[in-house]
Amino acid sequence: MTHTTGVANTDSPTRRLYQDMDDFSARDDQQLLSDHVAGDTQAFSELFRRHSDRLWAVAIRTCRDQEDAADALQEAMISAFRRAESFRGDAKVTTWLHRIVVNACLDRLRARKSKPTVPLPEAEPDLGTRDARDHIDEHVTRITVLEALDRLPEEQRLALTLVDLQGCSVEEASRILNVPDGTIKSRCFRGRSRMHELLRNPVETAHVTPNNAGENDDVREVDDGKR
Amino acid sequence: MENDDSGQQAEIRHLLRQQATPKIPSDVGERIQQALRSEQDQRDTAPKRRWLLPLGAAAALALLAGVIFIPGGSEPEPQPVAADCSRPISAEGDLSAVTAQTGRTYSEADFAVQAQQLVNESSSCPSSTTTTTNAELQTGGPTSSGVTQATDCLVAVIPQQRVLAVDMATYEGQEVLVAVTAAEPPQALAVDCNRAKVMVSTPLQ
Repeated sequence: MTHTTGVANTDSPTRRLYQDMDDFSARDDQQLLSDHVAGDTQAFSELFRRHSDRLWAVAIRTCRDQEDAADALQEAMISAFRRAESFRGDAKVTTWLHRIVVNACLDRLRARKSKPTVPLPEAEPDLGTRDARDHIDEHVTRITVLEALDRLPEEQRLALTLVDLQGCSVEEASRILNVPDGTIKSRCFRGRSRMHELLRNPVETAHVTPNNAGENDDVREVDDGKR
Repeated sequence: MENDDSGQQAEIRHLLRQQATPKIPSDVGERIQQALRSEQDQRDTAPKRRWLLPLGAAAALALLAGVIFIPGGSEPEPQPVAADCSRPISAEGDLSAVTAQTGRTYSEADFAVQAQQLVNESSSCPSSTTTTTNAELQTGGPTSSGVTQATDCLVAVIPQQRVLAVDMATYEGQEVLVAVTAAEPPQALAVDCNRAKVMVSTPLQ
């Protein structure tokens, strides 16, 4: 990893090259991270700006709550900002960032599990009436792909989010989640099968929640080198 | 059965890949960028605080001694500087007596010498060896709002210090405040107020 820019060497040839190119596009992710470590005050912000949508997608799909996702993403970015020097460069910067985001989300989910909330009671429809059947039909037609994804167990949802939604390779997903490739494949397979059931028959499978349907529903931490 | 499975798999994979990546809400993105800026500010000030602590301690000792002497240098000749020539940097303090607006360009090579000259020219403690008159310094002198801005900047960047002289000038082509603190030896600092950081610090000897 080369450290080429920083506050102190604003007149360096490399710096002038960047200025000539008028923006950050000349620098790849690894260079931006190196520059951040070297003291470039804008580099990390640019790194976040560049990947904010993808990181947000992972956070919102993992946390399934906008507020939690925002808090987790912020916590993750601050953590990455501080620990940039520990990045070893043996994986892509985005993989490293994804791992930190996933861990921040899992921490929040675990904390939420330890403080269970009691949902407000909802009026159960009387299944014997026509109105109730219409209610169910409406529900059936309204379920979306992402709602089905949200109903999956944690591990399957994470694997499918990375591989099918984000377009990560199985190898990259296995690095992010710190599990073997085969585990990613099996989680994806099971997750897709369950989603298929959910989309075909959401009412009958509605009782299947992320907490009772998984191969192993423990919320696991991903080793991102932090711990 | 296997065909069924692979068909289902492909169908779900296709459905998921069709989903658009959600855009990060602008308020969330801005909030995180703000948090990163705060983190950056903390990182910028941390090293500065490390060296300002001994600087402050030295200044305090010098003030206790009553008089600060500027040790010898090449040129201009060292002059004794009375401690009461210095002014505390504080939000309520008045730095107008020690603030100039020469617009001078300070260079890295001659920074200490030029800063020494600034001290000698200071209107609050005129030196007999000064080559620039106070009248010259007052030409295009700082406005009260300029002094206020300079004070705010120094309070933010080097609080709890005493300064012998301040100049609104440029350093290596960049607009800065040059401040000479009443340490032992006095320190010449070029302060970038836009980024709230000390660009360079040099002892006057």
